[in-house]
This record gives sequence, structure tokens and C-alpha cells, in this order.
Amino acid sequence: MKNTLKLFLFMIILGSLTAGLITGMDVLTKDRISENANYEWKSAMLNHHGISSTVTDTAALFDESFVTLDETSDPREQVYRHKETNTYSYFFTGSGLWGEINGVITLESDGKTILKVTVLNQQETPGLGGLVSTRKYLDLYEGKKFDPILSLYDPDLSLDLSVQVDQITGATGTSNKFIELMNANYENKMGVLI
Amino acid sequence: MSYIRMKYTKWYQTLKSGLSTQNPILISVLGICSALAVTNQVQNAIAMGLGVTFVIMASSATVSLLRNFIPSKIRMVAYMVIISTFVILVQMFLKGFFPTIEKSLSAYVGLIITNCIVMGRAEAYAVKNPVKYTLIDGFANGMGYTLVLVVVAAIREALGFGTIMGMAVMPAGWINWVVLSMAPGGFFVIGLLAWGMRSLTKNYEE
Repeated sequence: MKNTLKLFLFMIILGSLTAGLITGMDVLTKDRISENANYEWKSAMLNHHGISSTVTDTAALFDESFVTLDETSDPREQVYRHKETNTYSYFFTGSGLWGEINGVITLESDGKTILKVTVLNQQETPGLGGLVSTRKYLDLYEGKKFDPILSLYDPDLSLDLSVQVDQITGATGTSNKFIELMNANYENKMGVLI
Repeated sequence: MSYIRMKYTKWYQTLKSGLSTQNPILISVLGICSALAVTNQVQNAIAMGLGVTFVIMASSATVSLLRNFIPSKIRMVAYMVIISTFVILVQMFLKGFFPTIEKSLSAYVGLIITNCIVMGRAEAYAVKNPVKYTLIDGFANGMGYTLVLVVVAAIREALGFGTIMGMAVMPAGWINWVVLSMAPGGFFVIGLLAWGMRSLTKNYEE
């Protein structure tokens, strides 16, 4: 009984000490981590317009370059319009085959034609679905249109080629999921604007 | 203190053992998974090496400090709690101050928890020795791991990408050896280094 109590007491003390250390580090890094989380997608959006940025100047450059079209609380939920080119950019996220896929997309001023897509995070199979984040695959989306939605290329479909995108060889599941999440995000973000 | 006398001190032996004669990667073949994964670029190797060194030193020192209080029945659980805490601290620090390195190391920072070197030093050394020697042992093993990682990464980055720390080091017209930037390249280089080190230290397995 005495030994069990000792074990229990030891784990309580050890747990409290370690929790204290982690809480201390959290206080120290919380603001920077949230700043960095925004840096990733904001710098990608700036990059779509040929502007390179660093962790320190991204926020200022972003505010200089874009205006927001709605005022929801989460900056990732908003659609941004570039002040000079009138292009639209937004953060997209959704479920891939194995986990979340997120990134940013920029549309021409018509609000339909894709100018550039960047995938920031994905958990798809390396070498197969994982190719969804490569520039080579994402470049296939340039010039394609949400009219009203994107589709995977299918020779049997009598759809305009401008709405069809090739799939990743050997990764039909990821390709389907990616198109689905792109369409869902477009509908959600741009549906009310177009 | 003369060199001969120094050679027989405990701290010198501990340092030498971690860095060369019992090098965790080349001799003991521990922590190989992360070593293969992060050594395609020198910058990643340095960050991972320093992270592991910090975790080994901090967790070993804590285990050594608490060695008279840790109940033997739950010592493994206690090690895991201590090691996990320091790994989380490293991860949060990298996320806060070096986000690009944290992203390129991805899951491997979290996996320091499962790095055999950390648990191995806690169980084999820290629990039986005072804090000062434990710190030297942690430093030696961490640096032994880091040095190998950096050497492997320098070879792989130079031949696989033509750069070291992002700076071009190969002559114009150099054709990259792509295989070295992939996981099999890590096996080749670590295998060759292990062979060299074992020959030098005459550490053969019968």
C-alpha cells in the first residue's frame, strides 16, 4: 500500500513538473507560433503575385497588397482581392485520401479562371498522391476554370477542356479528393461573390 | 594535466566513447531511421543533431538527478515522460523560432521520443551516474550523432544537389547524383562510414 502510494505520488509530482515546463514554453512561443502559422499561407499568396517575403515583413506586405472582401473572424476564411491586379486569393482546406490537404489559390479578376495553386500541407502517399503538392502537377490547374466546377479529365465526358484537369497517375483517390475539396472551397468562398 | 593522465580520466573516456569508440550511429547502429531521413541537407542535419543532443543531455541529467527517487517498477514510464517533455519543448521552440526548419524536419522532431539513443543513455548510463558525468555522456553521444549526421548530409547534399548549406560547391555542368538525395543514398553513405569507423577503431563483430 505504501509503495503504491509512493508510485502514485512520484507520478503526480513528475507530471506537475513536466506540465509546468511545457506551459512555460507555450507562454514563450504561443504568439510566434500563431504568427508563423499565418506567415506560411500569406507568403504563398504574396508569392502568387511575384512578391517574396520573410517572417518579419509578411504581415505588412500582405496588408499593403490585399483587401479583404468579407469580415469573418478567421483570416483563413476570408477572400482577398489584390489591390492592383484585382485577382482573388483564398486559403483552401479539406480532406484528402489520408489526411488534410490545404493551400492557397489565386483566381483571375473574372473570379473563375485559376491563376496559380499552391499546396502547403498534405499527408498523401509519398511518390503517388503526395505528388499533389508538386509544382509540376499544380501547374496543370493554371488556366482551368470553375465553370461551374472543375472535373477530372475523362475522354467520355463532353465537357469543355478548360474545366478538366488530368489526374495523378496511380493516385485516382487523391486526385478525386483534391478536385472535390477545390470545388467545395470555391463554392463556399466565391459562391456569394460571383 | 598531461595528455597521458587526461586519457585515463572518466570524463575523457566518456567523451571519447560517445564520439568515436561507441559512436551511437556508426558502432552501436542506433537512431538510424532519423539519420537516414534528415541527412539529405546539412541544415536539417545540424538542427536535428542539436535537438537530439539537447534532449539526451536534458533527459539524462533529469534522470540522473531523480535516480534515487524513481521507483524501479515504473522507471521506463518515468523516462518516457521526461524524454517526451523535452522533445515537446524542442518542437515548440523550433515551431516558434525556426518554422522552416521545423517544417522540413516534419514528423522526425516528434520522433526523437522514440530515438533509441535517448532511452538507451538514460537506462545504460544516467540512472547509475552523477549528473556531471551524465551531462558529458549526453553531450558526447549527441555530438557523436550530430557529427555523423553532418558528414553524411554534407556528402549527400554536395553530390545530390551540388550544394552545401544551399551554396553551390560543385563545378558548373555538375550532374546531380539524384540517388544520393533519396533514402537509398543515406544507406550507402552511412554504410561506408560505418565500415571506415569500425576499421579504424578495430570494432569487428565475429
